[in-house]
Amino acid sequence: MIRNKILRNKIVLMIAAIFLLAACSSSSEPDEMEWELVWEDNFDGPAGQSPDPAKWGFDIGTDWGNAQLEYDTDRPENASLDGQGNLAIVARAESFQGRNYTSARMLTKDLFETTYGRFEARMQLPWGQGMWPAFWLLGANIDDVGWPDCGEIDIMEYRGQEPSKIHGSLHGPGYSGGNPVTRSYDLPNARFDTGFHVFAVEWSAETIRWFVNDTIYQTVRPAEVPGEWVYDHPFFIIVNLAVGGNYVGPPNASTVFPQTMLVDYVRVYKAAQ
Amino acid sequence: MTVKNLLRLINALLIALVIGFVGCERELDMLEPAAFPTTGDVFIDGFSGGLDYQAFSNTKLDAITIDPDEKFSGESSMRITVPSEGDPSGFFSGGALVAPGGRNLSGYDALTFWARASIGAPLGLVGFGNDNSGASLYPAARTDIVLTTTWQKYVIPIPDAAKLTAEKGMFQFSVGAFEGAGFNVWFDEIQFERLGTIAQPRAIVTSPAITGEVGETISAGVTGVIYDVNGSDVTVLAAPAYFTFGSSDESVATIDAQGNVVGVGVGTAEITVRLGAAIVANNISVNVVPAAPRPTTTAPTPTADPADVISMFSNAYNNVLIDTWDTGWEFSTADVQDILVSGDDVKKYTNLNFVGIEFASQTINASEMTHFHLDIWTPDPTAAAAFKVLLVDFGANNVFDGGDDSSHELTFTSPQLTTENWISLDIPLSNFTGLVNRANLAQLVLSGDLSTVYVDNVYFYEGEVTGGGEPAEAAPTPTVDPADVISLFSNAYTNVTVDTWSAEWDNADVADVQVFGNDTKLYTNMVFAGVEFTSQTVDATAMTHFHMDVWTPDPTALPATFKVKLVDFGADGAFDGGDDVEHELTFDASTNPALATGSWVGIDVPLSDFVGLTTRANMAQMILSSDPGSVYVDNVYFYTGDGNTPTEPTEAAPAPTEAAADVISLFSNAYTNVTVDTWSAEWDDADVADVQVVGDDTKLYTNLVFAGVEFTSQTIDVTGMTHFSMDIWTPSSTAPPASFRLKLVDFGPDGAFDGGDDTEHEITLDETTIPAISSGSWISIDIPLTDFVNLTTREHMAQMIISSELSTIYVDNVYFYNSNMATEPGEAAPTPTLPAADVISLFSNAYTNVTVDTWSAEWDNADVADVQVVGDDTKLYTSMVFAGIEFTSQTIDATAMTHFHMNVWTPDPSALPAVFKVKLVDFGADGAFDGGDDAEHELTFDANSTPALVTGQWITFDIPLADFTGLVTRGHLAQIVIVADPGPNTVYIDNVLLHQ
Repeated sequence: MIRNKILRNKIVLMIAAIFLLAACSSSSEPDEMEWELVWEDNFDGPAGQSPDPAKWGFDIGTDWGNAQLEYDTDRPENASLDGQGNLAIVARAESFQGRNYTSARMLTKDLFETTYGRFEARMQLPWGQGMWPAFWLLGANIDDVGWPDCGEIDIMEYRGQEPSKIHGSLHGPGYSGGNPVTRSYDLPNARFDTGFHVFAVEWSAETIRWFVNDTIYQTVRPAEVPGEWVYDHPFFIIVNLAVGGNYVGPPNASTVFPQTMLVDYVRVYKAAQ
Repeated sequence: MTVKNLLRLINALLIALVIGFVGCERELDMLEPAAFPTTGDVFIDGFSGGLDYQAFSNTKLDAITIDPDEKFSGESSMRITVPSEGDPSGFFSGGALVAPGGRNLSGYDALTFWARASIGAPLGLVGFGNDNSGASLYPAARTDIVLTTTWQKYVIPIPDAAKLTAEKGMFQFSVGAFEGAGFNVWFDEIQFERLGTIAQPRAIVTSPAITGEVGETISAGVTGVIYDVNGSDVTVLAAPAYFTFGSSDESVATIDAQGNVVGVGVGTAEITVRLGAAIVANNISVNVVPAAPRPTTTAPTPTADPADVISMFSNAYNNVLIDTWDTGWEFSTADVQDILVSGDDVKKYTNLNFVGIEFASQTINASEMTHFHLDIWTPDPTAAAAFKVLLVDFGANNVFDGGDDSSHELTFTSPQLTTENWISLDIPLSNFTGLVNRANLAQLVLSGDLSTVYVDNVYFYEGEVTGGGEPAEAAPTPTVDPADVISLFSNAYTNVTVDTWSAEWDNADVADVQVFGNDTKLYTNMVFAGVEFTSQTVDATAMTHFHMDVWTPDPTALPATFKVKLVDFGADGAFDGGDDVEHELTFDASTNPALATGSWVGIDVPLSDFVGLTTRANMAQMILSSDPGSVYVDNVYFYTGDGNTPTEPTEAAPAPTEAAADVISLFSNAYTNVTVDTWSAEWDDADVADVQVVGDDTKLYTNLVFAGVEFTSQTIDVTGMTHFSMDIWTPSSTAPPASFRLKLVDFGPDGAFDGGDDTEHEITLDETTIPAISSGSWISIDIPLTDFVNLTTREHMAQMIISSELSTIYVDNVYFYNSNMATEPGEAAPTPTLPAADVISLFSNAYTNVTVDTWSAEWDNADVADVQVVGDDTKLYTSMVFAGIEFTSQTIDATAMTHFHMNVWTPDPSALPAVFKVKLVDFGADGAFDGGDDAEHELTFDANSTPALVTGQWITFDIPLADFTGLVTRGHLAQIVIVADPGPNTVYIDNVLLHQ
């Protein structure tokens, strides 16, 4: 996630929410689409094995512009298969490279980048104050045009202290950092840390739509973003688990470590012609 | 340990679980699974079908009420009345809602409810799984939820709902006074729910690293579960039966169903705790060391009556909250482990040099206790060893080192100490001579030469003091001026002749002793003692009070009493001449003053309390009757108080002036009175007598706590009346917290008590109200019936209930009347006649008004409305304490003006202490608030000022601005502040202007 260090402003969020509500109220029911699988990782393999390097790279380092507290590594301790068909990204409380936590941030940059389609992942999230897992897309032209001009599609973000709520957002020029186009979704009578749930966007030239377990909870059209629409070029996928940071606040005494984010699969589909 | 003790509080009989469990299993195996209802409702608008409310033993039995007036939703809530400290009806409120047939709760994950309290206060314990049978398997509860005064929802996760397929305990609570004060708790919408937002259980483990010996049983201390509820941790205490325990190496240690670890062989093992399938603790390490000498029998079971005990640690009693059994103070090397000796919980200290045991968060009041007890066992040599016990009291301020701490350490040695035996230390608290207070005990410190000490049965109790303690200090030296005293016995005064301190006919022995150099009378074997001064009787007519100091080492808990009788031989000066009078007062642990053990009790009472002692010119005897057999007595004297407070009225209450036609009188010589059935109902707590005050019939209440006046046989219709009036006079001190409370009760259309339509309202008067109560003068209480807000019907008035801390009250002229008095002005304020050119008007129909920003600023405490009085615009202030009138946006230049003018009308009482203050504020040259050059001045008006505050008339204030002496500049007038505290609170205002 790339954000500036400005803390999110509740009033701005509220205004954005009202705006989005108004936008959504005029949306029609989503059309049934035919999808063709074009990329996937099911994370099958023996426990402790690192994820397939042909599919995933690692961002190694810290902060990432969000004041995240963890040092992200490519060690199996922080990201490896669990032997039961899942990727486990594990946030640990340990002293490492001057930081007090470690975790991992995996991405498909230069390995798989595409424009439009359905991006989905089936995941069980961690819990506790300060946990910030995310499944998101970033414009592949970021190194040329910078952020937020490259565009960012957050398929799922979550705060460990709000275990029944996730958020879907767009960051682009004029609506980034603390002021994105965003909407949240509350899981009725359940939590995201006690079982697997499917998080997805369906992205086309006309709309981006967000889903949790096939429930659509946000639709955004080009005319509805308060700035330029920067979602007509290739994006890559990022899956990470941050500890602390502007979005979520630091862990506290009751945060239990280690914390694990399990990913059953990540899949990308194209609309059938 | 803390949590463990609390769990004991939930259910003292968890110990019986194993037996109960086996029995249950066998039965269930043979039975078809019963179809238990899955109903989740517990209390919605009433108890869910079939639920019984059962109060816990030793609690206030009538604590629970269905309250239709206060609810979160629906028709009613469940109100819990929490008694204040010392309430005879119970020490705390607690009970269970029980479903006798059982319910299947396995489909739920939480008990939820809404609650609020009348004050912010902790809810001691609330939960479920306790069916009050003493054999509940699955008690679970949250403790010390701090309730607020607003409704909030609370969630109690069910540790493992799969266990609750036939649960009877639907709800349980236990709550005691907060800082001594009682309060109300309201519960609503109590129900089991499946929230889906409860997850991540973690066991509470008090001993994450256990060290024990081969053959020793050690408690793992698994007392509950912490859940994440929607992102926040919630702690639930849970009985062992919810958990499954396992050991990684049973050749080293095993663990039983209660969570008790038994050392099997030397080595280490790990304990795993499961809740259902979930592992909730897997890192409890057990280190088993070779067996050493240790107690093989339990400590002697305590025999003191639980009612006389405050227990810190014992399986024989419910234990109070102990913060820690090892404070871990610097330089302390001690370790503590909870172990079991033949099933009895014991504290095992090792490496003991000294250890702090702290209970500061809820200090112990052992004022009523006589002894401190603990049992110890040591394997160490004791011939040359010492063991020390230190008790620390934090004093009235309840703060460590707050300047009033007291403490004392006692040392025990051989032969009292022996090796490998249970030693019962049973210590009179009076031996802790430096512990001058014991109402706020907060620490126990154990130290000495014994490195390993097993400790059990740590408690305070009230028992017989043998050998008779004696006062650790002399009685307080009296301070009353000798000129105002007639002393029978005191080193501080010259004493009159007393013939005997123990008459022949009495049943007591008396000795002259010295207590720290002070002469004192010591009564022993006392049943009753006759003190006689018949040869020279005492004329106490000029005296107002009787005083004596007493000290006893004996138990003073109820029903023990100490009685003082004074006898006057009457004008004939001789016993039994037909004119003797006497009166006896009784003191016990609940009276004021309260009888107490081991401390000087000052009995200091108005002679008027000796109601039957109607003459005092020939006082000849004092008879003391006592349950305590040993009593020290000192400083026995009569005195006259400050001389300002008479003990009885010297004039009659003021005669009422209302026309008889406008009056319904209950009691007055000025009117014909209606029938009053009783002036002191059987159920009340007061004595009443008919007396005359300067020829005027008056009711005299004595020993008043509350008095019921009933006129139920012929209820009274006061719908045509507007006011209630009565006169009272008291010799008692009206200093706070004393108050006088008056309740009127209407039985409603059915004319019968409690038919569901009764209405009532109580008015409280104190030194700050209108009228204010005060000692030694007649107070006229004159209250609009509309002030009795909740008395919504007045057609069948049937009761008046007086309650007060004022124990003696004269009452006269009790009546309802119709004032025919307007509650609003009947005419407009007088129209000002000044030429407009000389006037700057803020508010008047007679002039053009300048801009006023607000007539009731945000920061004020008043409501204002625009009303018309006979066509004239008027401002009506209500609920006024102070009102801010602001014209800051366009300040007023009043330099050319000479007067401030305003018309005021109030329906409220205008007698003192009612005041009406007017403040004018100028913002100075900078025209801004608080710029350093503001000027202001406040003038106060009352019933005696000019103009005088009066009720029901337009008052014209026309005040020279020069009177506002502090208002040194007037070029930027910006605010008027009106203060009316304590009243009048309803005020009409008109024609607010400045003029020259």
